Amino acid sequence: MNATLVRAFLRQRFTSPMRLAIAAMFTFFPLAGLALTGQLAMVQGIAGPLAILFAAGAIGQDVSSGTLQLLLARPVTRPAYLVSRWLGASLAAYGLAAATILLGAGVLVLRGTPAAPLELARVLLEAASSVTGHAAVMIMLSTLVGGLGDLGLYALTLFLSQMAAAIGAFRQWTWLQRASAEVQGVLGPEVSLAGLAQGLPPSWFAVVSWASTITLVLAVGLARLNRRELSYASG
Amino acid sequence: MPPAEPLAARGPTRRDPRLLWIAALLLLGARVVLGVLEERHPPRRADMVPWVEPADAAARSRLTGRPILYDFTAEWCGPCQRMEREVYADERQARAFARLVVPVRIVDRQQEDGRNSPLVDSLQRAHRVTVFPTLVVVDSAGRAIERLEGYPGATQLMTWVGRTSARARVARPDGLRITF
Repeated sequence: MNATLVRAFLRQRFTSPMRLAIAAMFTFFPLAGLALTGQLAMVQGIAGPLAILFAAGAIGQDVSSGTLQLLLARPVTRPAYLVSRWLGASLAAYGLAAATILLGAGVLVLRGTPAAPLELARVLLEAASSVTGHAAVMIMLSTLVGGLGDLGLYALTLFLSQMAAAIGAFRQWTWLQRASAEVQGVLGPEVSLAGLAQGLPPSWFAVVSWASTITLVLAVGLARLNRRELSYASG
Repeated sequence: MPPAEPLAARGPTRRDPRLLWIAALLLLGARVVLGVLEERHPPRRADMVPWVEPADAAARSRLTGRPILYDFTAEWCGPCQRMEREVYADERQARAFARLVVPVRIVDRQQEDGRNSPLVDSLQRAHRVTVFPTLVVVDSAGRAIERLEGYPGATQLMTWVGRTSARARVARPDGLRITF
């Protein structure tokens, strides 16, 4: 990891007006929903979209603009670059998600229906798992295509897997439903801690799936980045 | 003149992520093994949603001001079982469900018994149910407000239920006072 790269990435993401406007939309509507219904569940889904927003184009835009060639002329290794991008995107998204969740908890206190501390901790932890998972997937996709093509790849894969799930449900093909659920799990890795309230630990399968997806997509992303020819002579 | 860079930092920028690959492959193996184990011995937890009988749903909806949520499901449906484990077996989500909607479960028995009860048949026809799970939110007058086909995950499902419930309460047909 390279702290300078992480700081520069955070600065770049938090000074992008378009990203900030979309992030404001992502957080405002769930907060409004929370204020109306009094349910903390309204803000627990924002972490994934925020991670996608902040990680989109993290590497692809550097490749397209030629920044990566200049960056790698400095003493920065490709693994350090990739991990810094992943951590930067995760930190940016989690910072905003956690602030929104805490703001939501504050709104609930003002409504006179405060969230239980365990419930709040659960939502914050689930957000952390969701942010790191989604950001890792987007970083991997970003090594495959230039610019913001990773967003398109993500949307296309999600659409195809949902189509497959619908076909599987319609034809009662359990294997297709299972396969599309796995693909969707890879696209949005997160650990559900719903059992905590009942004193139950999270499912080991869910935890291992989340860790496996993150390591696998980062390894694939790094392999792709290592094989990318960046010299100006390569055309 | 810029300071010289340390010698150790020079050299190729590529580093083979061997350890990362080993960790990824080990975790992938563990994932497959645990997936198979959980498939064969799924952790069963009690359903904690206070389901309401279809015949009582409209009256309960008028009384509480909450819309009715029909959960069209089937025993053999994999995503439905996942939804039961992740949402209905969770005390907190179950409480949220009961606070937001009047939950009614409609179980399809076509595959097991060869036919459904007339009530299940009529509800499935009325709401054009072709896939499982299908969730349909209706108002107390029986008008469908929104539907969701498939299980999108616990978080998305609860967000959808919360949003749809809020929409349904704002659009109440009987003109009663809206309370949240």
